[in-house]
Amino acid sequence: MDSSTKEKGLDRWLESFARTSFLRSSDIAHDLKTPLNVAVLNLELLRMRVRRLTGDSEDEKLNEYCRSLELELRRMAKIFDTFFVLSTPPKGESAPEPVDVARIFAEAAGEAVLDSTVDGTALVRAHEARIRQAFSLLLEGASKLLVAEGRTVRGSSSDQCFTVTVSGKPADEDFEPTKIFKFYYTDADGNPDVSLAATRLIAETYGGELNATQESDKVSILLSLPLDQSK
Amino acid sequence: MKRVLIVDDDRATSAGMADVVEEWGYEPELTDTVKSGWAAVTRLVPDVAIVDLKLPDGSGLDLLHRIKETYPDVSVVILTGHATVDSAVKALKVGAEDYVTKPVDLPRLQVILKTVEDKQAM
Repeated sequence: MDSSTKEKGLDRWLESFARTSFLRSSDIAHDLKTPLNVAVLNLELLRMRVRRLTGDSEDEKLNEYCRSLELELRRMAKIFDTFFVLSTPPKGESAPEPVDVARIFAEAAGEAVLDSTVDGTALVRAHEARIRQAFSLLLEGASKLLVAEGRTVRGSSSDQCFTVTVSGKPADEDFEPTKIFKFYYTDADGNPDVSLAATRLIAETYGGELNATQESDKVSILLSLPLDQSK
Repeated sequence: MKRVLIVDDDRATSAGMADVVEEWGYEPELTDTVKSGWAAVTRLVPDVAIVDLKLPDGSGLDLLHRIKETYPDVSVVILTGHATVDSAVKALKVGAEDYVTKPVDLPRLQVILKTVEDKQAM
């Protein structure tokens, strides 16, 4: 897809691909989970078998390899779930309506027990449940990446968009902004973390963006959503 | 030994589950549809049925309904591959013991089976 297609929307012939993916997404997610489940079951059976053959003695290396394999299989399941669930609208909902994202952001920040500032109202055409999920995931992901001391959380509106900015010092010395939006991102404790990848997917669904900037030791994560211009 | 009926249309899944529960000390029996699952329930009256939600000839919820109507003492554990758990929550309301999502968290499944066993022994 060239950049002009991306800017103007899908070419007509591409819509049939998108439509098929959309209609099949739930079934495909389910079908992908089946081989993953079989792999997890057989990994456990392999562990049991080895334990029996070695007279119940534990091999630390073998356990480590098995744990690693299981972690990756479960990471794949999480990626499938997140990607396919977010590829369709929230259950039972129809076309997006203008919703006040400033209010939703303030509530999400309150639930995450984060001090934040937000200005006025900001109407964005979206599904409220999905926007709430995006803010919650953004705050969850950013809170893990940036140390609490000196961290700021702000929501603000311009003529064109509503932007949430979370800024602070990265918790990890080797912080790499290009990795944090990947579905395979692993947090500092070694756990798969899809929160920011999912946030970006939701933002892009409603015409927005999720980006990160870094200046010396300060990182800013910015989620922007286009304001509804229909009125 | 407690009998566990596994109803799943994917052979590799049901065979793997059967081997795992057998290792845990249960006696597994496999079927792959709502129809054959119901036939196995009436024939065996298992202690526990692990039922996949999505079966070729219907929903695992249909089988759950029938089991609970006729054999209320048979515990049913729902197996679901879906990320959202709406159907699984519905299953709990109908009387399922619990539900597990794929890929199955085996230690959790073992705890569920043990809990069922303890309840039935009381």
